[in-house]
Amino acid sequence: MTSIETNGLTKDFGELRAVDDISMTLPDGGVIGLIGPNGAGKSTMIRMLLGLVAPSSGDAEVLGQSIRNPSAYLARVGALIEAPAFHPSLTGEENLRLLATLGGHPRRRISGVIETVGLTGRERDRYRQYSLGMKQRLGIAAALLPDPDLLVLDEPTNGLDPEGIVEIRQLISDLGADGKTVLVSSHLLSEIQAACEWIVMIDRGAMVFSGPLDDLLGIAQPTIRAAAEDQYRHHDLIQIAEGAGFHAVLSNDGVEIEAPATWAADLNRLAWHAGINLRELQVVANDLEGAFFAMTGTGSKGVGK
Amino acid sequence: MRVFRSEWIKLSRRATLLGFGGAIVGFAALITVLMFLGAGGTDIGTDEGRGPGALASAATLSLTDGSVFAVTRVATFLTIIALALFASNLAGEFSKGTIRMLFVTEPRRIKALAGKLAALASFAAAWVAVAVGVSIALGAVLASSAGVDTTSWWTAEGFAAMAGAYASLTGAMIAAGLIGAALAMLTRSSAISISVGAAYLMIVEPLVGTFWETLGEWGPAAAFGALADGGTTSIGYSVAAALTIAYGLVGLVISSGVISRRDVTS
Repeated sequence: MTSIETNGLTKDFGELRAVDDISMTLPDGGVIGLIGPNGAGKSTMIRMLLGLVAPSSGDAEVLGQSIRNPSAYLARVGALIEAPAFHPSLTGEENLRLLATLGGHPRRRISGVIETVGLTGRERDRYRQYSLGMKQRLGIAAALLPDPDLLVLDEPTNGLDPEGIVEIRQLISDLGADGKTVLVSSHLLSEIQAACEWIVMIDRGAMVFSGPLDDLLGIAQPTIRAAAEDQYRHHDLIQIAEGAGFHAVLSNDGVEIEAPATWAADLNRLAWHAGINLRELQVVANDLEGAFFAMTGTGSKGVGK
Repeated sequence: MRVFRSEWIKLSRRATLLGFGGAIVGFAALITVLMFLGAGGTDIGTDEGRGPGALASAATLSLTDGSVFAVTRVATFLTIIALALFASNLAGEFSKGTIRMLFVTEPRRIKALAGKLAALASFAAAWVAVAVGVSIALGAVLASSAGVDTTSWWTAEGFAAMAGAYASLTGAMIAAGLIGAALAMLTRSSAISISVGAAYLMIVEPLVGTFWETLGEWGPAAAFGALADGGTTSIGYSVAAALTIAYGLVGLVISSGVISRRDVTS
C-alpha cells in the first residue's frame, strides 16, 4: 500500500525548475519527513500534491487518486501549508466552524481538535490576538478537522515553545502510530529525526533520497571529535587523521574527523605517540543533520524549508 | 451550498455588517432625508425644489415611483460599495493566504467561486432590501412636512415601482460586484482592485463619457445608473438591463477563467 506515488513530477515557473522529475513511492501509514534546503522545492511539491499548483509534467497519485482530480481525495486529507492562514477578525472557533461548514465535517469535531492541540480556553479569542504558537496550533487543528487519512504538515512546529514542540511531536507520532500517514516538512532536522520513520530529501528541485530513516543514517560517516590539551596541537591531529586517510577539520576548539568509530582507539594511540595529550575524545553518532549535509553538500545555513 | 453557508459566517461579522450594510443603509437614509427636507414646489423636475440645493420637487416625490426616487439616486454609490465588497472579499483570500485552505477544503474551484459569489450577492440583495425599506419608511414619515402626497405610492403601480427599483438596484450592484470580483482575481489586491474599479465608475467613465458619447451611453457606470433610474433618455431600461447582465457575465467569465487556471502560490 502506498499513500503517495509520484512519477516524473516536474514544475516549472517560467525559467525556474522548482521540482525536477521526482519519482517516489511513499508508504501508507507512519510519519514521513520531507527535508531539503531553502528553495529546494518542498513547498511546491506539497502544493502539487494538494492540487494548488498544476504540474508542468509528470503525474502523481495521492491515496490512490490522480492529483489531476484533487476533489477525489482531498476530503481525506488534512493540511497545514506554510504559515497558518485564517480570517483575523474571526475567533479560532469561528474559523474552524467556517472550515467545518466548508468541508461538511461534523461540528462536534471542532471542540475535539481544539482540545487535541491545546487551545481549550482560547478558542473564543480573535485569531488576530493569537501568538504565533497559537496560530500554529489552530492550523494543526484545522488540518485535523476532516479526521484525515493523510495529514500534510508544513513546518508544524514553527513558533512553538519547547513544550509545544514536544506536544506536537508526540501528536504527530501518535497519529502515525494510529495508522494515519503524516507527511511533515520541517527545517528542524532533530524534530524530523525524532518523529519520522521515512525520509524524503529534496535538493534544488530533485529528489536525492527517499527511504527509511535508518538507511539514510547509514549513508553518513560517523564523526570522531577530539581536542588536544594544547590547542596548538590541533593541526597535528588533523595531520594524523589525514595521514590515515580520513577527512578532518577544525571545529569548536577541537577537531572533527570523518572516520569509523573503531578508529577512535587508533587516534588515541597515535596522538599519545606524537606527544599529544587528548582532553576530549568521543564518537559522535550518525544523525540526520550529518546525513543531510552529506547528501546535499550544503553547510548548516542551507537547512530550511 | 457549503461554500455559501461558510461564506455567510464571514459576512455575519459585526464589522462587515456595520461596514458594508451600514454604508448602504446609511447613505440611502441620508439622501432620503436630504431630498425630503429640501423638497418643495409643484413642478415635476429635480431642480424645482424649495431652495437652490433641492434634489427633487414635492411633485416628483408624489409620483408613483416617488417612494424610491431617493434611493435610486445613489445607485452609483451603491454599486461602488458592492464592487468594494466583492473585491475585498476575494482579494482578501489571496492576501491573507486563506485561499489555500479554501481550495484544499473545496478543490472544485468553480463551485467554490460560485458559492462565494452567491453569498456575496445575497448579502448585497439583503442590504438593498433594507436600504429601500428604510428609504421608503423615512420618506413616508417626512412626506407630510415636505408637502409630498404619498397616495400614489400605495397603489399597485406604486408597489410595482418599489419592486422594480429593488430589482434594478440589486442587479446593478451584483453586476458591479462581479466586475470587482474579476479585478480582485486579476490583481489579488483589495486596494488596487477597489481603487481601479471605483475610479473607473466614479471618475474615468463619467469624464471620458462627456467627450466620447459611446462610452457615456454604453459603459458600465452608465448602464448601472440607467438601470437603477428605470432608463434614461440615452439608454432605455431594457438596454440598460441587457448591458448590466453583459458586464456582469464578463466579470464572471474572467473570474472563473482566472480561478480555475491560476496556481495558488501565495
